[in-house]
Amino acid sequence: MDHSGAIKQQLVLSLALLPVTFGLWYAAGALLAAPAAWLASEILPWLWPTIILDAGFDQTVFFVITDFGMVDNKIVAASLAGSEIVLEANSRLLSYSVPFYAALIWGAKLDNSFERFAQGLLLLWLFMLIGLLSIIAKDLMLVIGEPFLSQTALPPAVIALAYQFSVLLMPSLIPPFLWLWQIRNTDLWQQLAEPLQRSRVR
Amino acid sequence: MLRFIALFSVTLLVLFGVELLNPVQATVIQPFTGLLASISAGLILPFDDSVISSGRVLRDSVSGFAVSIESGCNGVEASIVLFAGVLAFPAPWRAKLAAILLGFMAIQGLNVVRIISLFYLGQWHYPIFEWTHLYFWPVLIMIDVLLVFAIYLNWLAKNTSQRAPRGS
Repeated sequence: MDHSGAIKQQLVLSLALLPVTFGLWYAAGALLAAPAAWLASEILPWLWPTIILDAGFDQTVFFVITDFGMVDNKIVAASLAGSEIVLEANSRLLSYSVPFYAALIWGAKLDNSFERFAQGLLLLWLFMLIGLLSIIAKDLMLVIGEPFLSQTALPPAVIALAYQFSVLLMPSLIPPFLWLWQIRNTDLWQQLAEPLQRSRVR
Repeated sequence: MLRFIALFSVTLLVLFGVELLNPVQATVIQPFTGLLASISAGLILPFDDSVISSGRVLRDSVSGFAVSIESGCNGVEASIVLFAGVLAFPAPWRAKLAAILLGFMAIQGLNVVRIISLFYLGQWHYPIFEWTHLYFWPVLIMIDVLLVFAIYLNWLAKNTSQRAPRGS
């Protein structure tokens, strides 16, 4: 198969698989983000013990209960406010990387595709975890503000950049990277890498 | 390949850093996003005269529904991914420049389709609008980036194979 033929086959198959994988992802609900959400719920109260009281996962929503409340539009300690501010993050904003990755992997028609998918899923969970931490850090910065910023070493610009990267970019960028990694040593890879090898020869 | 990945990652980080700078946002990104809204409205107007564009907002004067094109929805991030890939890949500068210009047009062309489709999906069925906006369109835009890059690689492969006998 020529270069464009292999690419076309990958593209057509992946596009055909997208509705299927997205349907399965939607039906799976919280399942595909659960490992990352569980890790985030363990890490966040440990990371900022004076800011976060508890964290958990309900349906597809990851939430944290802060030690802050609001009185007259001012952020005060939860004990003074008599209630806690709860921050929520939609885990689907991150977990849609899974059906995208699945469509790319199964569109490539690789051997051991389930094993390759599982390997990639482990890394996707890691990026989902980073994404969840970034969303909560960004919300803490915007909602809680100074009490949070004074207790973290992270500058606001770093939090904003981390959010931009891990939430707006990574869920759609990491799957193609993992797919490239998984197709190494295959015919498709040889065809994709051909221009690179030629440019080296020249 | 490791060199390509390292160059790609560094270029991506640098371009993203530049994009986030306030002067760049004010003088390039925001006016460009407004231009996208105007182009979308211009394409819709011959078929639907109830659409109005104002700044980054596309509004339906009858239903009152409006979409605001925000960061992450203007195709700039996807274009940056393509630029980083093209710049990191060893090729003549003329080929890189052509790939960047044509690729940018291809990504923005699809992005205008995304904006128009979301404008009507939002008026028709809000949950479907949200679903396609947040999950489905970002994937399609990234596939567009992959496709453009693959076409560029294919073009480079043909181009280098034609030049190889002369060069060797």
